[in-house]
Amino acid sequence: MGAAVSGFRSAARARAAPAAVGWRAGSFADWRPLAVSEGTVAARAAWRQSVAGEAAARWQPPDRRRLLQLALAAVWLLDAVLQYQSYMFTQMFGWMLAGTAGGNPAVIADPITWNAHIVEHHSVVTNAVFAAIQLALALGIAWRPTVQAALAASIAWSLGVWWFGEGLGGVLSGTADPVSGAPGAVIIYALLAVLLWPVSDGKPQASFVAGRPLGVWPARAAWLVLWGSLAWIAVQAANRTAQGLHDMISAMAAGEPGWLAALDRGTAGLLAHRGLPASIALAVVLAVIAAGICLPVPGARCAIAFAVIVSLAIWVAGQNFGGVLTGSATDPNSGLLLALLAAAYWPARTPAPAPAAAAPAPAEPGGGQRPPGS
Amino acid sequence: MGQSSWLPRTLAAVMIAIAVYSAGRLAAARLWRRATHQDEDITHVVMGVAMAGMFVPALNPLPDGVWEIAFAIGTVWFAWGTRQLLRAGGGLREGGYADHHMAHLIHNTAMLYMLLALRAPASHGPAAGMASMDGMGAMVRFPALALVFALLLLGNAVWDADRLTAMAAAGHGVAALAVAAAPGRVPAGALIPVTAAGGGGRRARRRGHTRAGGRGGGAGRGAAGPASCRLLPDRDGYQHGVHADTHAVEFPAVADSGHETGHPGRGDPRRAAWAGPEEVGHRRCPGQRWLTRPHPARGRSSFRSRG
Repeated sequence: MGAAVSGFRSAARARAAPAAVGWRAGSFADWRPLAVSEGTVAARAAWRQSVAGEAAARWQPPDRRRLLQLALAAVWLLDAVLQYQSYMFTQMFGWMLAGTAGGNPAVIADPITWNAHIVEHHSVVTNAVFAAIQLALALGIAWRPTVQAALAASIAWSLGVWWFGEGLGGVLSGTADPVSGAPGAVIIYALLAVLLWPVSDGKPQASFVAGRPLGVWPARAAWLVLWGSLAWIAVQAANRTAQGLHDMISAMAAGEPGWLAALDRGTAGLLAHRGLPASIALAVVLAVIAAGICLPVPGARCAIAFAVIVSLAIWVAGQNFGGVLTGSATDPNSGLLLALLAAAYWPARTPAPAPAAAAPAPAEPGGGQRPPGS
Repeated sequence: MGQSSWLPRTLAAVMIAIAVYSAGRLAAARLWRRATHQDEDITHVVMGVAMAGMFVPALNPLPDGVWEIAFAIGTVWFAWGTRQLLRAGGGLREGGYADHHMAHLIHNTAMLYMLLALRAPASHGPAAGMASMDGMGAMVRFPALALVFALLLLGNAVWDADRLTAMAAAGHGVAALAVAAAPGRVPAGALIPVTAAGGGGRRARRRGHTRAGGRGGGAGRGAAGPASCRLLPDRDGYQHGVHADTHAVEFPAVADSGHETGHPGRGDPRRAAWAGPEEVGHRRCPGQRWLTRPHPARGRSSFRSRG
């Protein structure tokens, strides 16, 4: 920009030539021939040329990380659209929030109740603010100049909603279930924001997108904690009952379209009186996914692909697309986000080593070549 | 929505504003002889009015059947346009104009779906389809399809937001192109060609096209020319600059005489330097009109306009 300013000044000092006719493009109102001095023309050209060159050099077509950021932005935008539903502008939204306080310790539950009380009595204003914030986050992530600020804000907002809006996902109350959305969809937004944080390309990069901001092993640790916790939650006492899963899924059929309600009834029928083995099987599957990230690249890819399949199956059969078709959903729930998270861990293809290279280093399990220093 | 009436009214106002803006673009194009994508602007006008009527039934000027026909025509039109562009080589992944037609195809199809899917009970009357956005007993057919359309439209919105910075950069680049080429004294009424000093001059003349910069954008070469910015096909390009696109800026295939096609022919010395904003990034696409320009020597239009 300094060069642009100096170029502008030097050109502006040029002696004005007789009037010339030129076109100015770039804005709607400027598409007319106008008379300008030669010095002005040159000065403007020098300045715009510098700006254009700098901006053009900065803009790059979206890479994998950017595509995942855009997917995250799309999910936030869906959240905002769902928040604008008429149901959310009623007292029922406040009652929904108050229901998340049950079973939590008082230090957690009291602020939830306080917040729900405010929302219930000022539903229009509060919900409009919530929806506007989510809309701003979505657009902020989608617009490149504000992506970092929007991701940072989304982390803070997600943590707040996880507490005041989801009661920490029911983790402390013992009512969490991976099929219903544990440990809370909104906390996965925060995790994605961290893992998709834009970093300088000059640093040594992991072979998968999620490993770039924090490093390979911290990213794998996050994967282990998330999927391992889901496996642990799946076998908790509340989820091991014979009819637990059956009752939960059959209750979702109300308000859903016919084909989805039929799917719910069919799934519930399969799980009738089979809650315990189903929970154990689900826990095993989730544990395998958790551990699979530490395998060599082929094994890691299988685990990630399996994670995507399981996530989408939970999203459809267990969460009914987050209940968005009922008119009272606030978000698409965790299944879609888990699939997006898995995509961030997909290892890229490593290039073939050069023929004159030294003995090739052993392949990094689950992550391709070892980045320097890790 | 009846419990929060301010929201549909606000959204209806936004839709009307969009319709007015698009109508203004059409009027400006006709008054000031600028090129624009008439099919898109017409679609935006129709869509704005239709959606305003969906949000606030009192604003609906036409029966439902008319809107359904209109959006069915739009769906067919953009489907045909997409097919033509794909066959011409502008792939969806390349960021060429085919993806823009595809987006409008989705928009029109989504509007058609909303009109067909929203059906009020019979007691509300035959014209209650558009009035059923108030949620009073409306039944939605194929709601999963609504979710699919919603995801597509949200993805499109996010994709366009991502490209905003690129459009802004290309807008400055177009200004630099046009203005930088006028350092000297030019006779009144003359058009200002863009220098091909960005490295594509002689090669461009041989190949008949000027190639925009690659991923680096050619920044730092310090030359005003196509290589110093990214140039896109002319979606909204004339109002806000041009969009960024890494693809070659190509002249269409021309005969030796420029008379048939409206472009400088191969032997015309102006061809290599000819890259005015209307020509840069040009791909002929359905619904586009070319500008005519007064020839500096002949004082009359030398290139025909085509619809």
